[in-house]
Amino acid sequence: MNPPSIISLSGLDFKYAANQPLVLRGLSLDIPTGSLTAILGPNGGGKTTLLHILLGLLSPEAGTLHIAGRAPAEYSRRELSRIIGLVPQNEHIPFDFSLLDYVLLGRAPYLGALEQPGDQDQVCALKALETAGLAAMCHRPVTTLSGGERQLAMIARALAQSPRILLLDEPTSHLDLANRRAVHDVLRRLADEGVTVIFSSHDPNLAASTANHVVLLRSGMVLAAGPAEAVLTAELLTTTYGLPVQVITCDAHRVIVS
Amino acid sequence: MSRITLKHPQIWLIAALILFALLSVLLGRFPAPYWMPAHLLRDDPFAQQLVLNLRLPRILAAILLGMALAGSGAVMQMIFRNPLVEPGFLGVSQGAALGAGIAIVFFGGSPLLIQGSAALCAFLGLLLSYSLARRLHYGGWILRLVLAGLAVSAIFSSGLGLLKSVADPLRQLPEITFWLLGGLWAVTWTDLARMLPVVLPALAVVWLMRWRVSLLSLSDETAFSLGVAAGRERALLLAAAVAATSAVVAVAGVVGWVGLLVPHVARRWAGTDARKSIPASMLLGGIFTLLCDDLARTLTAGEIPLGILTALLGSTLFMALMIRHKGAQR
Repeated sequence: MNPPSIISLSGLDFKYAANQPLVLRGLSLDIPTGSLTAILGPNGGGKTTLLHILLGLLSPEAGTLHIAGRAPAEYSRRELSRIIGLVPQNEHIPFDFSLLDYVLLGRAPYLGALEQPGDQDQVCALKALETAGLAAMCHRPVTTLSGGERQLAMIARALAQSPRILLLDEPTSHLDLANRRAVHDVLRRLADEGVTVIFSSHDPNLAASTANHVVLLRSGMVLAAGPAEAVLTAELLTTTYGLPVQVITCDAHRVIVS
Repeated sequence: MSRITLKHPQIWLIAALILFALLSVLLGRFPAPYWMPAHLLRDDPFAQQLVLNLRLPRILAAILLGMALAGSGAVMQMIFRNPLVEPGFLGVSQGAALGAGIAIVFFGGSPLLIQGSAALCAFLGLLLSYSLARRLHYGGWILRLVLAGLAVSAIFSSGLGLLKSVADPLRQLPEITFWLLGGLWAVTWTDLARMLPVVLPALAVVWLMRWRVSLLSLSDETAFSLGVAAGRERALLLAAAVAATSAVVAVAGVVGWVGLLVPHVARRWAGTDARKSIPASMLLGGIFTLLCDDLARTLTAGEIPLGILTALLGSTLFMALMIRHKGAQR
């Protein structure tokens, strides 16, 4: 039985300016509810653009997009922000907020322009910090966190939104092995709790070790999409990255080498 | 962590502000330098008149000036995601200065005219910077605003330079110069009544929306993902900050460094989150400017321009803060 899709795109075209080439071409895609989906492809393949379209930050030239059954235009921005959270690639935080104050900012979709976060919001923020494994350091200034902790802090901030869909742009691209593992574990836990997690990556091993659904993107087109084991094949990856790629099985885990 | 964070900073700051305001009533050059015995307030009708008509409006104006400059500085630093920004940014202060200069040189320089012209040109500065930034094709929005603000400020400064060269050196030039150095020596209840209807609502907007200021310090894409209409909310907060700044600058002249220094200290003492740092900036700004103005009117028999004192103390403290900050981080 196929799970129903929480996001479906059909015939999506996008370009950044009228005189520029299309970045996404005729993109059609279904993302299953509750899946842990990796959007995989070489640099410049349109991954971040696709995430920004899902977020509503960019509008497609042509095609249709449905999020939780409705077109983005049918949601107000605040409504949409209660459904989708974003962890950007590398957010520069110029002020040294305490970690808890920073995560509390994630409650914005639930608060009016003149409202301040209250006890309930505090509870949500602490729960998000706990999920991200940072509860013990909630009073530390964010500027003193390590790269991995900061990535987890951004995830916690997005989780405080209580989103049904979490978008992450290259969540582990500049992390060491231990921190990658920590981020993987959090993403898996979220998917287990029913959050649809969608992350972009140029690293197929990250997708192999984490995702259960994979989308291969090359030059703005979908090369393949489906369950990880069906998509992460030597043949498809070779076409995606344009160089010979081998898939080796080791201790029941797929390892991708080129 | 070696940062000093007070438990209830607002209460301490309110108490300090009230205490300093009360002490300031007794500070001055009458009947003798520095200090007036408190019993004169009861016994001496001249002392009563002096306090009521000169010292009290001046004390309140100093507090309001500091609150407006530091509150605006705190807002601007956070929404431009740049801790080195202050209201002298985006052509606001230079606009106000040029406006006042125009009123002094061409229209006789009545106080009301100076105020109106300064406010108008301050807003014009903001408007020009904003519309120029929208048309620039270089870098992100924040960088474009900074560049546009720099360019507009430079144009206004050169306009003011031109005005100074044509101003009557005996009558108008001293007035422009003294106004540019900033001071509250001539403040009356009427001036205060002109400032209040602009400054109070503007500061109220900033205070009410203080948590949004924290949100707006996030990147545009993150703010968007949180459902924040960043452009609209930034414009509203910026308009409030500029209105407050131009209203106080029109009365007090250009008083620098308050809007830069005070928010830094406030964030350190009260916490970075704007829910705490904005009220703390306003209160601390009030205290700092009041103390500087006390020195300005008490230290010497003449009047030291307030802008000179805030620049001297502000820049010295800012440097000390930065040097200590680095030591604290390593």
